[in-house]
Amino acid sequence: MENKKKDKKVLLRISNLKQYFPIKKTSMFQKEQLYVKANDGISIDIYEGETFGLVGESGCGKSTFGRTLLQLYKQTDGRTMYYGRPLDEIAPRYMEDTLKHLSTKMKNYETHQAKADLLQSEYDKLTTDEEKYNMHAKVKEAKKIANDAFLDIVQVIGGFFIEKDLQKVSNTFLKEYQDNVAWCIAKEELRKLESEFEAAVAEKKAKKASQSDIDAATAKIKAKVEAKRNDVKAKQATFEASKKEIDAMRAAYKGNAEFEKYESYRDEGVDLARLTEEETRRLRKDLQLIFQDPYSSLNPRMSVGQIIGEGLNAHKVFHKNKDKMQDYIMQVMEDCGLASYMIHRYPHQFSGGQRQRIGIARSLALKPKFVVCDEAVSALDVSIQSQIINLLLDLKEKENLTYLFISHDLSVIKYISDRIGVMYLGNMVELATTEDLFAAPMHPYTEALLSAIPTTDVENKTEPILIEGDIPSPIKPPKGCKFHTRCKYCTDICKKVVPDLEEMTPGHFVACHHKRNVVESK
Amino acid sequence: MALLELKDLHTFFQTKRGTVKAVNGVSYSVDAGKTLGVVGESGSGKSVSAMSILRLLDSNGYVADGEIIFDGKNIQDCTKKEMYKIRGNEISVIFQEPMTSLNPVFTIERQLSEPFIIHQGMNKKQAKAKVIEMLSSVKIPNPESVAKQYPHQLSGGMRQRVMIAIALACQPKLLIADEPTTALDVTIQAQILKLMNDLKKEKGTSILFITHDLGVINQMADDVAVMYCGQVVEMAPAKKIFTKQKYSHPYTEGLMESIPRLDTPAGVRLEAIPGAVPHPLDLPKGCKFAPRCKYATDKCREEEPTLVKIEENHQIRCFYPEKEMRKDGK
Repeated sequence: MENKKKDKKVLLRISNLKQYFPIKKTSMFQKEQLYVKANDGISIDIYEGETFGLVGESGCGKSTFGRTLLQLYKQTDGRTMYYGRPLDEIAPRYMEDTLKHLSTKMKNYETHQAKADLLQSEYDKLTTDEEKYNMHAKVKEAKKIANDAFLDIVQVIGGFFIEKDLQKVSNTFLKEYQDNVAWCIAKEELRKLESEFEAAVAEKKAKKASQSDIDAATAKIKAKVEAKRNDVKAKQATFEASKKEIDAMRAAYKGNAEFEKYESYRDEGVDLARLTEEETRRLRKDLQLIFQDPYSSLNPRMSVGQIIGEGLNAHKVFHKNKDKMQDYIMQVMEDCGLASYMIHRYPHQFSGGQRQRIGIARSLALKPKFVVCDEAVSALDVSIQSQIINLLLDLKEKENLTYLFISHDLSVIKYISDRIGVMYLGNMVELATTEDLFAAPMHPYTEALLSAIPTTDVENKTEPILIEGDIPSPIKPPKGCKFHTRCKYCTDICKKVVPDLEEMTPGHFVACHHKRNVVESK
Repeated sequence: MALLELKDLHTFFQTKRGTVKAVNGVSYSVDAGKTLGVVGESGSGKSVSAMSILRLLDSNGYVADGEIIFDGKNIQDCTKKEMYKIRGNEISVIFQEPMTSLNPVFTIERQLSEPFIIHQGMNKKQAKAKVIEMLSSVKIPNPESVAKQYPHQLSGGMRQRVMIAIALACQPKLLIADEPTTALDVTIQAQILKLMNDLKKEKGTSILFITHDLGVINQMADDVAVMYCGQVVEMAPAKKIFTKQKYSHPYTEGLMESIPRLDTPAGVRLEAIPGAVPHPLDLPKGCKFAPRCKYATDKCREEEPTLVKIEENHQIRCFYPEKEMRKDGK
């Protein structure tokens, strides 16, 4: 299984994602700021080309998670590494920040690490369980902060973490970074010029101008494009040269075990959480969302063509080349099962299922890599639901998409997903492949959830395992394991210690002190 | 013996664009102490047929034809005053959205005591004691404090419990449950369904259960009526609907195949019913399901089939009710 994982490419690596929403204070005497802890430390990997299903009851934070992932909310804490594009295509600003203040960051890390070590040694000295329980969270928190500071550094500079002369490292990396940015800007300018040129040609062609006329009219812009192209090449060469410089520095450390160890932390992903608005906007093309309600998610004053074309316009994909854009929109509509002659119609002229198709077409028009389907089929009738599920599956195969499929309907989730994560009150409580999860659910909550699904099976009508009570408030969630208030296996430890998400069998993670259905692995 | 019987019910709505025939010749019956499940997609007339019974229709809706026989008498003939006595007393309803069907400005106690005061002539004090009793019978923890709360202070599942308590207050003979668990989570849904089943056994109430969820129907219903475009297309005991039978309606068959079951293998595409439910003002000629039916013939597109009794307890509205015949016939 471990090997199998390696040949699958990670698209998104989410670690310790937190999303808190502050609550307005009810009185001026209230000292403590309260938060709705919608997501409270979620860590998962999403692989390229898979469908990751997310289930849970309403209010467990599954939609928030989907949206935070896309950075529609600014996440409170944690890392969301995106591997869909090479790092040097984005050249995020936060790298510059790290490189400039390398020595300060290093000192910062050292203080935090010292603090964490101190707490750990104190913790080790404790003898009673009671004390340990109380101390546990504190130690964990300190370690987390230290680790974050550490990762901030090594993810950028890798093995040079052990280098004494930080100033030199900082300077060399900064130069590479700045060359990279210059190259990126030049590339973007070139793209704009090229599409402008294309649009100009198309416009002339539409007026039935002769080839020589077209050449004459576009000569100026063509020259500009050529010049830019050379500029890009030059910038690229500079960038490669400074990259080589770093490689040379690296070669000096060849064979140094410690260097290699830190080098392995170097990360080629982009941390979505730390991008600036502008950088996130560029990545939005890759990361799309399909909404639940096909009625409120389409602007009633825009025609289908405008709705689907909005994203294309925003990202200047066709840059004034209207004919080409219209052709493309019609193509996307056909792909999503809508007749292309409907392009000028308005949303109210469509049925629920067709509207959902418009929503899907809008998301897919930008050729995304990752799509969050937030209850995408829940509002539809049974017979329409299956049509949309089939469409989503077909499109996934065709475009090699990765889905995060959020739903409360377990039979749909089971049908569509490769892996499933079960959420409860802002935490991931279980994570496994679909088969494993349904064959042997390990968390008591999953167990109850699965048994509560009403089936159309007449022969095996099993009594569902009932969970008593309702979901507690996410403002003041229960201490320890959040499920302990409704769990029938609850013991003392559950009330005090938050269980970690552990890997019980390969690929099957569960966060519980009293795991069910655990088969001893040989 | 049938407690409630609809005979050829027609409910129409007068709109600016014409008459919408929401219910177009529906007949079904609910036996005493039994549950009839009515399934169908949105717009199939399943809710309207039930609301016609209690005359809880919008002002432009009216029962154009048909009989509604409840407990041996035709309640179509009842006056407004007599209907007041039936509603909430002999027949009561649980609606889908527990938030909108409870009054947000009154406490639970005030709302729950209403049926006792109106129908059973109790005074406030007696009613209060009854309220606590009802709340505990629907398994609400510490009923005394919940009685003093307002609906917004309760969770969805709790509100639905309160709704059930109100509906069952006067021990009605018939309970109409219109999508009572659709807005709830699965775990809460399981709690509510169990509660309803327990109460049914305990008190012998008949239930008319309306839902679009076939899984829920399987848990709850003794008999099932499948509706499409204002008509019943198939009616049979639940067992017959959910097991593979010799006879079935193509729409029922399509519905069963289009839901992903827990044992549907991954990678196999779902058998979707093509197209969408036709607009009620623009119903097709002939069989209403013909445009979406993969077995449809010219006969289906011209003539309208009637509900035919195929076997004991099994009625189907199709020219080709036998599955084998459909495959060979075309």
